Amino acid sequence: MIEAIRVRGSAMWWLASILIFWTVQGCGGPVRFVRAVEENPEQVVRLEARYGQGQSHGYDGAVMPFDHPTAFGRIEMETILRGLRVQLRKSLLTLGAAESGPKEVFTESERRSFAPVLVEAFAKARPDEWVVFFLGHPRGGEADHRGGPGVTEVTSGGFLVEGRQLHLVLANYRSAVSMPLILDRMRDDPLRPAGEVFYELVPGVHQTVHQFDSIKSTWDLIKSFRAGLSALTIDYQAARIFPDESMRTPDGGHSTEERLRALRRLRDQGLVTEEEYRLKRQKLLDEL
Amino acid sequence: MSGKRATIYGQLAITMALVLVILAGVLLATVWEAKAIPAWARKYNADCGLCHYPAVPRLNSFGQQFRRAGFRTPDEFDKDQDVTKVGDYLATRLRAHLGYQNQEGQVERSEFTLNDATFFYAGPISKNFSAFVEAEIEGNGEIELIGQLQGVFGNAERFVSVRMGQMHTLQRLGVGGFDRPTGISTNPVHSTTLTRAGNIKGSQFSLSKDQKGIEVALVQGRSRLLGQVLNGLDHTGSGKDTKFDIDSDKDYLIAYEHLLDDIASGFTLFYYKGTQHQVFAQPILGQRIDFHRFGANISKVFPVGFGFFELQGGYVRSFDNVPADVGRDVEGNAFYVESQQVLSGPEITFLERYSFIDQDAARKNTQRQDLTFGVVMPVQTWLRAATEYTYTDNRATGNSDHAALLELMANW
Repeated sequence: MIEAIRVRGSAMWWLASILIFWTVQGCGGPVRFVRAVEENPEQVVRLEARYGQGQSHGYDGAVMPFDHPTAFGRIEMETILRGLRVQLRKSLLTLGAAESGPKEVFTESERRSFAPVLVEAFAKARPDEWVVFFLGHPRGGEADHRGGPGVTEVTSGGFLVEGRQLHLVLANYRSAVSMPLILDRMRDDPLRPAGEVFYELVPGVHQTVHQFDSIKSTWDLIKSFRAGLSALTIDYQAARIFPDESMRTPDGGHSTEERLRALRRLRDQGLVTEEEYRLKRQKLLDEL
Repeated sequence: MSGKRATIYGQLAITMALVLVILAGVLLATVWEAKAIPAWARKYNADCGLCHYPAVPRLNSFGQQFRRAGFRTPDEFDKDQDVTKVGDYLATRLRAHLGYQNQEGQVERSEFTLNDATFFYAGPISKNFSAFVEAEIEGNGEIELIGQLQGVFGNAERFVSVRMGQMHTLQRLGVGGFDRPTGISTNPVHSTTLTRAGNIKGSQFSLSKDQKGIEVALVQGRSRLLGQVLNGLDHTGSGKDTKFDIDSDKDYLIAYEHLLDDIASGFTLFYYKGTQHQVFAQPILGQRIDFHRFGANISKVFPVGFGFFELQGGYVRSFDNVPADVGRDVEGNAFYVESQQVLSGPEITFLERYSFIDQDAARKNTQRQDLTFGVVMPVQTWLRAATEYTYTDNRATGNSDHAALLELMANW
């Protein structure tokens, strides 16, 4: 019996050590300062300053402010949202899954309700704040939730602006969730993936994709990194000038018509003078 | 081997197992929970948290409802299924162990083992029917087969389920502690025989025995009332090894389950009546043991600051009517209590369990006590690590036992 007590004592000591270790690790999450822009059960948009290890981290990990507030138009934001696409990521766990082409991240109805709130959020955002979002809808409609827990599809992530670029980190794309407590956790921290990331962002015009590997100092974002979150960078200034990708020439350049329209927009926005506009316009016409 | 030396080896094995778990977590980079049936994770674009709590393979309330409904979500009732998407049905599991055992009076040992490689084909195959096939190739080369067809008739709020085949019965399919364990081992109250009368064994029945039979269940909301008619155990104590039933006697199970919340809390009330024609090595039809088991199980999960805290427990009362020319009737008592703590963030789960089994309440020194500590943690989305230490004090056999086990479970 004495042996049993000794062995049991040793096991208890180790278990206690692990408990303390993981508890301390678990407590090392970021400090977040949150301001709500919109909060309802199906749509959440917040401004969120995230601090880890005493510093505010920028998108690329540097300690630098974002270019907030930023002015976007509602139509412009809807256009940006319409241009966001994902596709099934190839991994061990998606073996055998049916292949499908890129899909739009947001449905038309989501874009309509989401875009104005995003515009408002960017107008209010401070230089150290992300614009984070959570969209949750019952899969299969309300019928799915009758008679007990149902499935909610969650799309969540965060936006921020640095220079002429708009960044998107997509933490969850239509992830199926059943437990209300997990749903609350995702609503509380939209940048936290629910688990395996099955989808990745697909770059479109004026967009580039890269791994989201910043902010490695805290548990939840270590998870984000390890889960393989991809991030999308949108050159939204270029998109303002050349928004219509259908007008691209076969070699990927911009057609004369598109360039003329862009030039007119620049003049209308006061970015070029009337004289500069006329000179440049004539030059473009001479190329025909 | 001296007791002191054995103690040192025991401590060393436990230490190694726990250190390995820590290293696995820190170095291999923690992500989230592993998946039990990845085919469904693929199908529903879901993490394991859709159906499991706190770790695979134990189910949460949604997972329980999903299983009750023949692996359908509520919006999939009465809908055609695309059975050509084989990836939605196929999954594989591999479990590797490092075990240590120091049993009193026996040689101390430690070993690496391949516990099993298991292949699943499971899911709904038509509007109303589902199939579940589990072929488990064990480390010793034996193949354990579980296969059943299930019909589901009704809607998501209220339906009747009929299940027939070779199947898990209550343990591994119930709620409130009858589900698959969070850790590695099933608690002894559900996984071992609960009676023994001196040198005469009682029934070899345990609540975790797989059997052949049919089940009819009525599911309404969070409740399920079920009845099973089963072949029962053969003379070897198995419910599935023989090709035919030894006689026309059947075993019966009646149970009522209720889910208490959307996490994994619930309770089960059950009564099992069975027979077994086994007293000595050969089956003798005239020497029939009639046995009865009834009891309850309950679990309650509490959200707390660090994550979740769970209390779980169960009680089983046993009666064996043994033929007078063989022995005497036996009564048994058994209960267990278990506590689990889930830390959000690292998603690590600790468990502590105490179980008490009195195999013959009329006599002294027939008790068995088990004390188990365990840690379960995800390593990758497809991989989980778990370790357990169990001390067993079995006064019925006069032995004590130290056992430590490290398990890696992969699912894809």
